[in-house]
Amino acid sequence: MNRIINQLKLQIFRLKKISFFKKCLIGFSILMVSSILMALKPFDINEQIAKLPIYLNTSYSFEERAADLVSRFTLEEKQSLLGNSMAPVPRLGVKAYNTWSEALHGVLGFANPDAEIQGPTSFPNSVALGSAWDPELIQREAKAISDEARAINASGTKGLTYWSPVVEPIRDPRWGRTGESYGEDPFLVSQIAAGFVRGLVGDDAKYLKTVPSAKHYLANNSEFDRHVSSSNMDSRDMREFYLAPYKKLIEEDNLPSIMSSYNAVNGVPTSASLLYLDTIARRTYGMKGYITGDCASIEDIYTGHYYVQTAEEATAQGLKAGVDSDCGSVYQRSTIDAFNQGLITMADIDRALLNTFSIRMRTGEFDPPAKVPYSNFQPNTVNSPANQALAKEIATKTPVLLKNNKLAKTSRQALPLFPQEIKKIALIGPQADEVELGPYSGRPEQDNMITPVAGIEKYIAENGYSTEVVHSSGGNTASKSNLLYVAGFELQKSDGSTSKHDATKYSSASEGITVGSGMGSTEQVRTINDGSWTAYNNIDLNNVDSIGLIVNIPTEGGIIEVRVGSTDGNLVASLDATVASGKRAGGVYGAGSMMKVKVNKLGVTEPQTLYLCYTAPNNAPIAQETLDMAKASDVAIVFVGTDEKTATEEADRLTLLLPGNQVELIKAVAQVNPYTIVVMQTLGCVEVEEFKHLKNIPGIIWVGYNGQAQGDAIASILFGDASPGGKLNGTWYKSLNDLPPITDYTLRGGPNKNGRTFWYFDKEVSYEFGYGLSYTTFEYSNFKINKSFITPHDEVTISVDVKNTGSYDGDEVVQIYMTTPDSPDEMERPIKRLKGFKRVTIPVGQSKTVDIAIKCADLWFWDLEEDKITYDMGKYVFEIGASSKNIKGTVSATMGGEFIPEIKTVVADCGTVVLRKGSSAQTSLTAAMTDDSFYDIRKATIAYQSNNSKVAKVDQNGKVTAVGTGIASIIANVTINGKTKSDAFPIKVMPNLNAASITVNNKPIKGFNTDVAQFSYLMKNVSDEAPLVDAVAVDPNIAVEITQANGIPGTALISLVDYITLDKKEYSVNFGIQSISDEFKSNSIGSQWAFIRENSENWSLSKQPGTLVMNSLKGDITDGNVDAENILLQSANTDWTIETKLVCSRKPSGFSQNAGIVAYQDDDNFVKLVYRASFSRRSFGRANSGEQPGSVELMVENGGDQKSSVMLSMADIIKADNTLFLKLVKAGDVYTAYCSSDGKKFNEVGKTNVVLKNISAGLMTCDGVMPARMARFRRFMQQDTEPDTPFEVAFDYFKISNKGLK
Amino acid sequence: MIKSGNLKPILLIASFLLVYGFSFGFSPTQIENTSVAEISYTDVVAYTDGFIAITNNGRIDWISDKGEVTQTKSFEGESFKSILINNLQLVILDVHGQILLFENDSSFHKIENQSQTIINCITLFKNRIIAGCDEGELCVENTENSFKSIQLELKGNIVSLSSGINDCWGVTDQGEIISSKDGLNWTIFDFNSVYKGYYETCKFIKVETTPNQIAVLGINDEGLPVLFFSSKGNVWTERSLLFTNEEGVPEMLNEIPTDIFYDENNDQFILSDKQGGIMTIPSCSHCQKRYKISNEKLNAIAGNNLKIIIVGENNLKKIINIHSI
Repeated sequence: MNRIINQLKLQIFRLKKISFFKKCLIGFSILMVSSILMALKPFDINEQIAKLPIYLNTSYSFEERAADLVSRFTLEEKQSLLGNSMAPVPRLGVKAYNTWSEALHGVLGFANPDAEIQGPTSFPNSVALGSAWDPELIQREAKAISDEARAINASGTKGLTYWSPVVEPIRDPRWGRTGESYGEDPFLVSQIAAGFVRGLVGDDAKYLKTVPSAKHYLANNSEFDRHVSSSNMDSRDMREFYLAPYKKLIEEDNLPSIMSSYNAVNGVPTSASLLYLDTIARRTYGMKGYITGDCASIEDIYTGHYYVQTAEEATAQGLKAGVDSDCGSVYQRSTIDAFNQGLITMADIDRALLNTFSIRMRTGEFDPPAKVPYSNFQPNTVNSPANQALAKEIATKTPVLLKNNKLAKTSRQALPLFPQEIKKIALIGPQADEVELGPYSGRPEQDNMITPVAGIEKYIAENGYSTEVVHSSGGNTASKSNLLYVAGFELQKSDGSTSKHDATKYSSASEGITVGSGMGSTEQVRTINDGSWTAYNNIDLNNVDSIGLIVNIPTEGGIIEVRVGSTDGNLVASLDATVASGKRAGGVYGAGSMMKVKVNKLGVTEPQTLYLCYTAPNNAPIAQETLDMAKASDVAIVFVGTDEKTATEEADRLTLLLPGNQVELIKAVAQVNPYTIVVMQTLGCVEVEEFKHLKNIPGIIWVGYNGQAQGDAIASILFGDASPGGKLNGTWYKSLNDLPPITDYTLRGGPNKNGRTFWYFDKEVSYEFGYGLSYTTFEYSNFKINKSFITPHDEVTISVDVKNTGSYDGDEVVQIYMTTPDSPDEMERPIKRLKGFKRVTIPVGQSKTVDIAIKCADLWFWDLEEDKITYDMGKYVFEIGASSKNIKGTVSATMGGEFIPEIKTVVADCGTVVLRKGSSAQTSLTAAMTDDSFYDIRKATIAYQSNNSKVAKVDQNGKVTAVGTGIASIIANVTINGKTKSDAFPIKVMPNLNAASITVNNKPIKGFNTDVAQFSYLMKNVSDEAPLVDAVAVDPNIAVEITQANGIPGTALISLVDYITLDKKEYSVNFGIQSISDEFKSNSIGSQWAFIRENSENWSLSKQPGTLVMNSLKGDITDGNVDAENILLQSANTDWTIETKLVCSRKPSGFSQNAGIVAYQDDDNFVKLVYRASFSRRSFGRANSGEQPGSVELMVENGGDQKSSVMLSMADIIKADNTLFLKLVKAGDVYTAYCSSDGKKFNEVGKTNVVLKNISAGLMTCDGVMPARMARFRRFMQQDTEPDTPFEVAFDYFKISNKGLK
Repeated sequence: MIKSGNLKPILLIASFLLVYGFSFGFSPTQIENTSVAEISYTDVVAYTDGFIAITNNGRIDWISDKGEVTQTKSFEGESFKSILINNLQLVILDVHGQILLFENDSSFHKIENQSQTIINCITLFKNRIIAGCDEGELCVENTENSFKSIQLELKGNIVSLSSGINDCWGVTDQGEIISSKDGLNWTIFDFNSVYKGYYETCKFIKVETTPNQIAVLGINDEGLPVLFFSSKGNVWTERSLLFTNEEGVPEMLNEIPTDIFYDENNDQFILSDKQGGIMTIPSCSHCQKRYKISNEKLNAIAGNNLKIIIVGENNLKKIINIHSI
């Protein structure tokens, strides 16, 4: 802070100094007196604070402060701040920041011994938390996570923005990120996610504790093709299912951030969609905050979806759609280029930064720590004993009891176990001694990672039991999903020749095979399952010695059999591409390496159809010692499950079977031990029909990845210290065959297609949504609803008495499902939807009345035709039960009356963050209603106001006028049907940088106009002395700096500088003499001319007498190049009109062969009007091949940056004689270009403006260069039809007529 | 970019050699009785469809895209440090700071570079050889085909140079970044001074330019590797070196990096490190991966359109299909 204050003092001092010395002695005296007075005055902290820049001044709103900060960045700084890794800006005291952090179920971070930070606590993952059905519980978890986040951040980590939670409902259990979701029903997801969001943002009214970002907006519900695919659906599924959690979190929980996804929806990449991001998320739901693109989602716009062609276009699409921050480097590399190409405006950039910095501000980053309530978390917060205990408490509330049969031997349920009655307990299974955390959490200290074996042993020991605990893995979790990715194969013949084949170009393939590239760039055959195959026609196998397969092993690998003719044809070769055989796994991001095998000689001579047949490795046999151990034990508990190799980000499951040999293990153990308990820890539903009914398995427990304390928790559950109270958060289908293809994003069923989720799936299942047993039993009675007639504006309370009728204290989740039996069949309403739930703890023998409030507004459907929310009239039945099928009773109410939508969300903006004093902007408004439609804003009552009318005024039509330097918020109040909603946007008004007057030798410039940046004087003679120039700024706070001209010709430069913002405006005064036209009739070049980089062999006045002939040479002065030769120039430091006639030997070719007029300051500052080849990035390798009609281009480069470009195609204009007339007119800083094919009728090409100094003008011809920004595409740009003849240009004349003030 | 052989020829190189060069009389010899364990590849460059690698015992290997050495030449008493290709001509820097031009497959010519200090690195920029030296000195081939010494006000030794089409960039071991548009006029960005209190103090190791990005690789005060990107050179953004290891677990890179290469086909950078690993750094911030490819120290990376080569100690050379990482 002191650093900033000191910098500010310095700037103020500098400003005062400059203003003073430039102005008058009176000012100096005033300053001296006031300085003396200041020195005598005691230091006033308030005064000092008042001098703080607005972005550090806490009396302004965060948005206002962010706008002020954004206005101070240079364009290069702005570009650097548009990525997840944001650069520091030391001159403004802005620290480096990384928006990318993860905290899905614990802060993704590491122990930092230097800061005395331990590994963060890892809590149960999302699918486990969703099964707890307890928003308050997850809020406690999220609070602990945000405590740890604050403590970690205080140690120097840069960033409090966390890209959690995942709020996509589980549409299909094969989705690789099922474990990251809270469940299948959007209402359940919304409620659990809301607890998470509340816990992360904290409870301070002003500051955000941390920043959750809900993802992946929207419909990223499959992994294998998400970078290239489109999730297609109607607007009903989109609104009711995929968007519902976002709507709830934004509207009710003030969600401060969302992440746009990789995939497209209905053909438009979400990260490029104004509709999805701006119209729906911001303007309909009212999101205030920042949107980050998923990592590389901006890149996917042009490299995955091919929605646009270049990085600059993708940048423009993303920024304009509303993606404020790119997790990647596309924005950080391409924003300036996109701006210079005119694809985006500064306002697009500023708006994105305003959103991001408003959020950074809200974390208190720019405030004194004493003001921020979350600035004092100590290192020992991380993995504190309290958080460890919380991890265990939560882990005991997530398990779901799926089966608990009564044992004949004891007449008791199989669970809980009574250790005092058990002599020996066998803990079996590959997951028995593992802690599976799931992705996106921290890595806890090893001591805190409690496996089931460790937890059970500890429990036995701590409670003084003598039970012997034995352990054997007995199985494995080898994945049978995504066996391999295959990119290609090579056939190597005995004569040394090789034929290469692209594996993705198969002629046929088994069902389910896909082609994709994931995060990489190489397309591969993917989704290879046990039994998959691909076939290739017309493969020449004659004399083939070996075959090389380019294979990646994402997890465990598989076997590829190469066969001829059919999938069971002759075996040519077999490749054991498994990790078990010693091959290296490349992971799901990997691409492939060549694996070679010898080919069995078959003697075939004709081309064949080659089959690649893929099989999973055989399951390992179950170890006999494991079974002996199980047999010898009183109880055998089999711990099975999935892990991150089964499915994860970028990899969906292809099977719902337990991976590896775990099903065989369960069955084998059950065969030898009648008291076999199965504990499954998985990312979601698995197929259980093979073992769930086995008599020897009386007990089954399921839980999601249950955090660092999973071993302690399962011990508590197994031994009855806690009764399982979790309920399934998804449907457990009997078979994969019940599901439509994973690429099908529609929910409703149809011919030969089952519906999705319990909303629409009407077949028998293994376990239904909401299912879960308890050690105790509950009795439901006294079902009530407090209203029998409802409207969408009502709230109803449904109540039920629940009694614990068993012998254990226990938790029950009371669930309420809604059906609408009166809705017409053709509406295809869901079978039912979850609309309320409550988890309650009820001691043995006690009853509780459970009241569940339901807002009737939540009972909406989406009207496909009207594109808005609707409510079915008629009966609404509320089923009250212990699962979606186990309904204990029902109540109902009749929906009637009129639904009157009310105003909900107002969004106001004026298209810019920054205005100059005196300029104006028009406010635009949208108003969304509670039915999620937009109101015709012209019919609304609108009142505008400014909170600082000294800075910006707003009239009642919303026109904002900047009147003074500083910040103001413009508030728009919109009233519809008597209800008012408001929105405000900040405007930073920059100082007026205009000059009030400019004088030359004490005489004011005639016709001085602030809009004109350059004034020219036509002088009579060359001189060493130029007139003296002076200037006065309109705004006295603006420094005026003048560089006088060195002589005539010469240029005086006037800079008006705001040393607060470092903003600058320049005027120049040119002093020039009469230039000299040339008909090129002489044998030698006129004395008025001089060459830049002369190459005398390539120009001639004799080759075509009466003309100056120039051959084009390699190079140019555009795009940072400084190597064009033979630029012929003479002084032209006035206003003027130049005309030339050029006769070309042929039409131009290549990327940008060009010839014409140049107005030149130096190689980085010039204006060119040229006839040129038309490079087109939209037509790689085509338009730029051979001769072209070409274009006339007016382009300007200032400071090395190409600022603008106007092109006029010469197709159908230029005639066969290749003759063209060019005219360039300079008036002030404006250059207007014309061209003509006959020298009589000139067409205007365009205008540009730039302030050049010490201007020369003349002619040039060059080959041009490929724009640097396109260099990476050069492999697509073969120019194989280049003409052999040179591009030779004969300039017939150079006519110039000067103008200027006198 | 330079290593791909894209730069234009050095003009009038023959006359340049006549005037300033003199033959050492090097002649190729076969490698005999050389202990493989003593030999390290120090640098490598793409050459036609394959590569050329140099060693610390004066050997030049022509390597096919399959990784086979197809031709070898060795020069007794030499120890090579860095190599460039100018079309088909080799420009090699040796450990003594001599710049050598290799012609006609038979001999070297030493170029008089006028440097008073040790040359650490070379690059080709706009047809000029530019050498980065200790104590802030640059040796720049001037238009008369002689070398001109340029003394920059630098605290550090210029340890790496890299050229694009329009700009040449260099870094020092004291955290300075230099740049030029013409090879003669240089601007200095004192990274540690500008970012004092905002980034850890850094020593830079390598710089690599791409058409729209500059990457600077270094080590910070804590001895940890750091990577910074910039688009124009005035603002530098740190790239987190968090990666997913081969078990799928996130880790921070702790190994000391040795080289950085821009893989244009995949629009990603590749780092090599002293512990035998390479790390891919694509645009996507969370897609970084590190692969352990050897137990040897890796010294340099080069690539062409299809293959990447990584060379290192103990004669290590690894060819990697560009599509497999």
